[in-house]
Amino acid sequence: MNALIGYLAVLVALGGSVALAWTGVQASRGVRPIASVRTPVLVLVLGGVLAMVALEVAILTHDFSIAYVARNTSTTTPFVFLLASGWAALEGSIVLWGLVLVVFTYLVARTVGDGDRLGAGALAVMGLVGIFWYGLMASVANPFDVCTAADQIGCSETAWWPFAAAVAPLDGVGPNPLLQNHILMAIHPPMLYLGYVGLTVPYAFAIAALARGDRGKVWLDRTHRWSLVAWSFLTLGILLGAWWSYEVLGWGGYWAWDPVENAALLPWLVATAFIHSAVVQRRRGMLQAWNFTLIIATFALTILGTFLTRSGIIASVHSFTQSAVGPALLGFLGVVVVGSLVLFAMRVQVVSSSPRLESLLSREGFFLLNNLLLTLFAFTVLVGTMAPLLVEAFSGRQVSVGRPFFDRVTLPIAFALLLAMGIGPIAPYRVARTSVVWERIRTPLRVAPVAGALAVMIGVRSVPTVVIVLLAAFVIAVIVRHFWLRLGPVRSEHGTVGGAAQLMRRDPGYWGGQIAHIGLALVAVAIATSTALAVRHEVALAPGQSAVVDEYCIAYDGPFTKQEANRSVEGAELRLLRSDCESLIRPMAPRLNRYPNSPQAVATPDVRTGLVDDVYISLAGGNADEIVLDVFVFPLMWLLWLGGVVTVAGGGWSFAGRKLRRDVPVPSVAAEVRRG
Amino acid sequence: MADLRRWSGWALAGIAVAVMVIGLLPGTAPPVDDAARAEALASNLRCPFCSGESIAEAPAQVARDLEAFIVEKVAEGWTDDEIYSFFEARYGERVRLDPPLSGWGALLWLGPLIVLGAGVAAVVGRRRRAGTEPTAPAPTVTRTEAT
Repeated sequence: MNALIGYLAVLVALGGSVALAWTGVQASRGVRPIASVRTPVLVLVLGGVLAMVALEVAILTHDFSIAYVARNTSTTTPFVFLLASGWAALEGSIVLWGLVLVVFTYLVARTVGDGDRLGAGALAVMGLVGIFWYGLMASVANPFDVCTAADQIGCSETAWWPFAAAVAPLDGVGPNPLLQNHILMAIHPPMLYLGYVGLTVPYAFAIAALARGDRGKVWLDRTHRWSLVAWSFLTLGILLGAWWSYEVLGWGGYWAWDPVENAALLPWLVATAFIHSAVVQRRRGMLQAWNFTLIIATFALTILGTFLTRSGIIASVHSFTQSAVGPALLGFLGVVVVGSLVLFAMRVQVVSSSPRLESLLSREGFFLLNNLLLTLFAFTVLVGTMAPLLVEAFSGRQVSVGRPFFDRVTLPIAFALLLAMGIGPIAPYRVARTSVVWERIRTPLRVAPVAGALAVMIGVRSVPTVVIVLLAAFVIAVIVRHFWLRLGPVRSEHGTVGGAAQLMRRDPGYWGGQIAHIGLALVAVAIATSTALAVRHEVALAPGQSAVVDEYCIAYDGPFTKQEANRSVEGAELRLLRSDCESLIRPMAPRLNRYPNSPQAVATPDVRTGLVDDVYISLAGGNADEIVLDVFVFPLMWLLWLGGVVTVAGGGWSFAGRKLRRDVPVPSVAAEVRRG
Repeated sequence: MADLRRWSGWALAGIAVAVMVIGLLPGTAPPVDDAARAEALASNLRCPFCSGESIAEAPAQVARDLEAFIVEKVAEGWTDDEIYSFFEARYGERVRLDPPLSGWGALLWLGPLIVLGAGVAAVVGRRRRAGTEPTAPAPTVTRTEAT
């Protein structure tokens, strides 16, 4: 029953997508009234929501006659992970993708009123994208495949036909161990998808504008907030992924330059370039053609990312599946890239006239520099990620590109980005006089070396790390100084806090951006210092023994075992003590989690987060007599998470703050110019 | 008084710069010992039986064994090249995480450089052409412009 309802829902959504694409195109050409897109949108929403609900109901009621449920959940799976199983494996993740797309389509449709042909065109593009995803679910990635032959546990044969005679196994196999080991797995994918899929909206408007031959920036004005929303969620998704990696994978890191991490970073980098260059076009009319290129690239990279993640083409911690979805995604990527570029080439004459840059030393000049650097960054990561695939495809040789390459090439780009981030936002538009810029960076130039010297004094001996600290301190100091000076006139009237809120509400785009910059500067410092000052020790301990690592002492009391609902746990009871081996900081228990569906135990580290440093202990091996511990000490790790959260908050303010802006009295232009 | 304040600021910055320079002078950095060499080698070699991580990073037992092997060979006086070649001969080209500077690896380095060159040329070109064309009329100053 669930299979039938679910599959019908998918078909309804597919039908809605087809109808939306058709009516959208017609409405945008003026052949039909705009209101004719309403019904298809509602049908699409109905189908998309119902598909997700049907899958969740099947999972929560343990309907093992559905192959997806039998393969990815079990009766012992805890509730949260049952819920998350709805999107944790391949087919389910596509259902969630569809749901997010449907929600965005609905929200866009609400903004499309009478006579809005651009909006109708954008909805048509979203319908086309919907056709692909729901077509995928209706064919090679059907989440409601019926189980036609079952073992005791799990499903051995399946049929896509929902009326096929269903057989239900007694129990399901359960989720992939890595996916049921930490609560973050329930939150990370939806956040990432909100970002990924949200980027469809500006892409849809861009394609509609190109197809209609619109010149101008209406599509940008209308999608500005959507881009910021999507960017913020994408940032949050990446942050949660890094945190998950740190808390679960046990190798002591948060970023491995894994192809699938890169797959999330690539659209983030290009989307970041886009939200900056969009400002230039909206304010100065420049970079029209470039903005189309960037948003097309961003959307194509989200599809490429999904392909890399979901096709199983790359061996990585994320390749949980291998299936026929790969070729379908690759084909869709080809259609998107070729189709968009052909359309772009046909219209390039219409969209490419724009005013010229007056001076490189200006806000626009720095925006261009930012775009150059971010594009270069993205290109480098793309080449490094794809090189092994391409070399193997063409020559059959298996090669790798890993951390040494990525670290080395991205470091100089990071330096330049930080520098541009420091000066760009305080450089005036059009032509910036050197004296004005100097006035604004003079004090920060004196603050930055102090931070660098502090880093050296706490033991940093790596030049790149000190340079990062120096530049990050410069960025933050410039922003704080600028804010403080702007605050001056408002403060007398509203007080410090009220004035600050007032100021930030007046220009949420600008100040939201500055908050995000502060966040990124903190992230840069955290990455640099935690890498440079990290301490790693392998310690072998028998029960009753203790060992001193860095400033800490670790005492091993003995092994323990524990049976939990969905797993058996073997762990070590440890006490983390000060270096005198007497005063207790807290007990710690790194463990190996064994899941019935996998022979490989999942090593789960225990992490003590502190103000000065994190102590990160992971169980590397051992037996009853002796255990082997991997002990890391990472300084200032909280700064990384804080920086990430601040970045997301900045993104959030830049779109949410805008809404509040209408209530704020607008000061006279003359007054502002005097202040500037 | 204001002068004094300003100069003391620069003086403090000067002292800070001096601290950094002295702290980072090559002499004060720890020498590259065997442990550091082994660590660098382990992070440039892919753990052949793990999911893509380097020998230094992978949590698997086999990675620890290979790491111990590297430490042993470094102590025996093998050169970096000898160790890389040994691993390459045994597990294939893909154990090297750092792409070579020649052959296919050259494209990895050249590609970004070409993009950088093209980007700089495009930006500078924009600026040049701007010099020869009449500039657009000045836009009205808006609130944010002054920020």
